[in-house]
Amino acid sequence: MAAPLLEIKDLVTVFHASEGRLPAVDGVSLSIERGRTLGLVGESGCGKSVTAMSTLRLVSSPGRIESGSITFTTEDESIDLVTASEKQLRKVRGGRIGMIFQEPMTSLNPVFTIGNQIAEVVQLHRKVSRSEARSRALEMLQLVRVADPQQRLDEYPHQLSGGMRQRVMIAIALACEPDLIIADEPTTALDVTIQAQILELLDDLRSRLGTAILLITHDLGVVAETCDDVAVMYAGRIVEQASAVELFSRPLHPYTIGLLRARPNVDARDRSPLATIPGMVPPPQDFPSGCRFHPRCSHAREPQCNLDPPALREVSPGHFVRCHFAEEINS
Amino acid sequence: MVAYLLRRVLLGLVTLVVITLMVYGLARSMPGNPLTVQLGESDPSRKLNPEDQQRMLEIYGLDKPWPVGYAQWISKVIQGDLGRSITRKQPVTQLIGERIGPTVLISGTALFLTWFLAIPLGLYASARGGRIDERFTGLVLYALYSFPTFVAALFLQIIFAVWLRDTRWELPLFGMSDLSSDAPFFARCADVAWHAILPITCQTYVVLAYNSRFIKANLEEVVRQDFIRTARAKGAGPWRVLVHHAFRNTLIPLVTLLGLSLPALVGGSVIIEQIFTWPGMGRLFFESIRERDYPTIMGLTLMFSVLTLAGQLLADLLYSIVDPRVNVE
Repeated sequence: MAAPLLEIKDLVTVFHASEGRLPAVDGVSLSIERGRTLGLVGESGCGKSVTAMSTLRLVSSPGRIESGSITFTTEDESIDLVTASEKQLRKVRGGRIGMIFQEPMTSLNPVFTIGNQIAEVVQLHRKVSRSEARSRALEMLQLVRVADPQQRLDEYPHQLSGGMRQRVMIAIALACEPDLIIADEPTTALDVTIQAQILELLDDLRSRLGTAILLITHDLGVVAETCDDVAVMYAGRIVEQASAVELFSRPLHPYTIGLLRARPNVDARDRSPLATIPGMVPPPQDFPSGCRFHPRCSHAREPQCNLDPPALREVSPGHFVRCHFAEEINS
Repeated sequence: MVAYLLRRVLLGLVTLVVITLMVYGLARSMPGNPLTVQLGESDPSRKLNPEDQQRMLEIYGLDKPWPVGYAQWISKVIQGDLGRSITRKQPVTQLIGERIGPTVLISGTALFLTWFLAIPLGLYASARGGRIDERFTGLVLYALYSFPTFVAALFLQIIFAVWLRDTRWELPLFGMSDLSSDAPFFARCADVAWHAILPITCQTYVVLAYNSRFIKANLEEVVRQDFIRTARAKGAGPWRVLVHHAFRNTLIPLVTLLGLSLPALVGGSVIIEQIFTWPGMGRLFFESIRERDYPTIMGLTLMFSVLTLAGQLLADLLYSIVDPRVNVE
């Protein structure tokens, strides 16, 4: 089997703050195959976004990648993005890996036109003239289905709605036909109806262009609709990873089970209140010993759970879980 | 656009009337008048007798209460006449014409140097933010900013005109030119430039220190924005991110600063012109106030006010150019 498109191994990203060393991402391993969509799910503050930023080394000071590797394999080469030179990295950013951020309202530069900002990424990565870059920008606006693309080219971000701006961000991310798109909560800041449109657009573009997607979200509904594979993250670590079908039909980790129960179900006959997971994700300075989920877990047992950190193990082909008692809980 | 300009100009005219009215009232309310101050101070025996004084006050129109005097002044201004200086027996416009050149030479050069150096310094400080070399330059700039001009001017005079006297580094103590007016043109130019070095230095360093720190502070604010992360994610290099994406956004506050520096361009610095006996506008203003030369005071006030208002209008118009979100309509 060929090497996966992107393989993150034991990634550790720490923030050095007054509280000390805070490992926001603490040994994450993930892999994304060509043309597939991987959903990275978790509550706010579990390290999803930092994982995404680390992939393109965009974590800003005081954050720093401490160890691990991020191997990015294209047709002609395979590079480790953690150790790559700044110059190599710049070729990957925007060229081979496109990125979409959570806040479409602030992610575009207010003083440049839409056309200018799409054309910029094209000119940075391809030897094209200004007018060629501009016509590529127009093409991209048509691709992401922006109304009146010709007119939009010369408009500024403040003249566009949030949904339109996110389409522009997608256009920028896709303009150089990257192998991978990292979408960090691309729909969180948008209205529900617009969310659906954007996800549909992403999914459609993926199937047409064959671009792999790393979709970071806290919304399991989004994952169910768009992802091939899912990784669930908790307190800086992956706690469960499987194909979407497998994960939704047979969740193993108590945290995943809790997340799935916490979703409203339209079909449900019972009117019982929505299930919740008590407590919240601990911040890095308060990571508990043993299994990081044990203080919130109803199945936690002493002394294993509070002393012995569980390893991520494959319980069935392609289904990984980080829990001592996964089989027992689910039998 | 035309409607906007018209509104701003009308509003500006009202502001001008209020400013000049207040300044005229204050100037006329100062003790003494051009006749008593000028002659009485230098030689008591030359003091005018009360009858002559009264007659001259009538000639200059100073016998009536100041609101009447103001009305007379402004009606002449509307006709394009700024009046004649009482103490210098010259038209005010001619006086300003003589003094404006030397001032613009100093403040124009200083303004150019300030921006020419402040922008690269600000970019450098922001690119190297927090490193040892940047902290050192930052410290030096803060020290310069807090160092008063009049002290610096005196130090510079001691160093370059006294200690370095008769060396090739010697610079003139004061004045604008040592050559007579029949010397060759280029020699006179070189002489004036030589005399201008110290005043220009004095007028540049404070503003330079302030502006470069201002640019740095604004850049630091901008580089924290989300769109800077987007630019990096697009594959733009650090230089492009800083200059193209970040600096372009700091132009918005810079334009205000530039607009406000317009009156200073012709206003000159009273302190610097006084220390270096530079025959410019700042000194003219200072002297005219001391001599209670009302027409000159008012002529200069009018000019500074017009320039201040024009600078603000210019800044507002430039806003709409550098920031597409601003629309002057």
